[in-house]
Amino acid sequence: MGTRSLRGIADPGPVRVIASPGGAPHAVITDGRRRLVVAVRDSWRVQDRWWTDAPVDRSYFDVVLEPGRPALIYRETSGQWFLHG
Amino acid sequence: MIVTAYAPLFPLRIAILGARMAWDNPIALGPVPGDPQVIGACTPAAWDDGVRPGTGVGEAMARCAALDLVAPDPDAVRVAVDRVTARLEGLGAAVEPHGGQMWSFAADGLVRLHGGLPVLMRRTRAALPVGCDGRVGAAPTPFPSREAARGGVVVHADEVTGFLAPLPASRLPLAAASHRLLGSLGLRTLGQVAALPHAAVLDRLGRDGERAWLMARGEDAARLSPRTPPEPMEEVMDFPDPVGALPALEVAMRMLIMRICGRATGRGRSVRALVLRARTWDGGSWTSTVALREATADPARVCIACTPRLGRIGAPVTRLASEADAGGPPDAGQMSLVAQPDDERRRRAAAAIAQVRAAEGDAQVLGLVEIEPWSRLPERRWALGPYEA
Repeated sequence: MGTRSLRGIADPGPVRVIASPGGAPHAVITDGRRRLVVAVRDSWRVQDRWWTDAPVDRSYFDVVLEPGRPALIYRETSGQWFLHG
Repeated sequence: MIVTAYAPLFPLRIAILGARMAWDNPIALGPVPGDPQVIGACTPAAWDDGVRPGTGVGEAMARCAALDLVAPDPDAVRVAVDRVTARLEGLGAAVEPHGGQMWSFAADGLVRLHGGLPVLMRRTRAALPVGCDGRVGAAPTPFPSREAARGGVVVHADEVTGFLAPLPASRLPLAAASHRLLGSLGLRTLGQVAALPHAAVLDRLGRDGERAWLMARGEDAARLSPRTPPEPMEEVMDFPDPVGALPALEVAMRMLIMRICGRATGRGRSVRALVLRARTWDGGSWTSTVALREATADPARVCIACTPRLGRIGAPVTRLASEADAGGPPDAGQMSLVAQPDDERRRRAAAAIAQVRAAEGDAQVLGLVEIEPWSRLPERRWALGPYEA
């Protein structure tokens, strides 16, 4: 019998983010480097899977980091930030 | 002599065991998704409260307020039936499973081997699962043997007619319309059916009725059709999160079928039939048998036959499995006389991918698989799976 499984892509990983007092991301620290957020292209809220034991409540930010690298990050209600791979 | 092992209400016992409930409580099998909303087999406690198989769910709950419904688990039943069959085959018997709760085999060559019919029957009884109220009976032909198993008795050739006579006529394997006709004629027992004139039975009930009439007289000439022990090939795919999206399930099924067909080709055989199984997120299961019109080892043709079945799965899936036995002839599937223009390009690409796989392993050649493209969570939209050339 052979057993195989699917491998996830775009799985989110924890990331350090410096946020402004209003909650918007100001800088993201990736690969040990501090990258400023050049622009916030869009932001939205996702509340999903509330019918399960692991409900999702995320504040998404579609940002552009210097020097022009796009990134999708979100903040959970706990305050922890994540970056989609 | 035909020996039959009988485990009454076997599918219900399996479902109750899986749900970790007590047999003494009023419990019944719930309806299968997509089928009419009627209950299946029920425990004696439910029976005492007036619940009967075939009763509508609403009516059953009204008759017995404490009634619990358990989801049928055809996958677990199939595994359990296969296990019992294999145990009986271990005794040296060629076994015919019957209706998911009976197993019959001819004992003629086994009686001396095991040291007598009582010893053989005791060993047959030991092959049934503990606690399933298993019974073993024997009679000269299959139908009386199955009826003898219900009572756990041995019926010798000169006792068959007398044994069958008081049994209800509903035991005959007839269509529902024929049973209604027997009821309307006031024929309640096998003895009454057996007493009918041959020509009258043939006239009113046709050939099936004649066969049933012979059975009622203990003159049934039917032979057992023992199964050929299969060499199953199974491929399984687990999902980290339950998948309800049909496109994702189709991709997963295609991968499983490619593996199955690849293994069949490796054995120099082709696939005649395939069993699709799914374990759903609520602990239930779903199973569907796909019999191919002709044996083939072509994954595309097998997929065409299997894809419509996936739409019948009623809940998100956590595990999808495909099982087949390579019982077809080795040269099946040679359908095309003229090669298609793209065949050569595809063949070369497939050979290149196969070489990369052989050198670097399966995990190095991956393809994108749609999981839930409409999901608002990016990580749930796509996944990587084994690339299919």
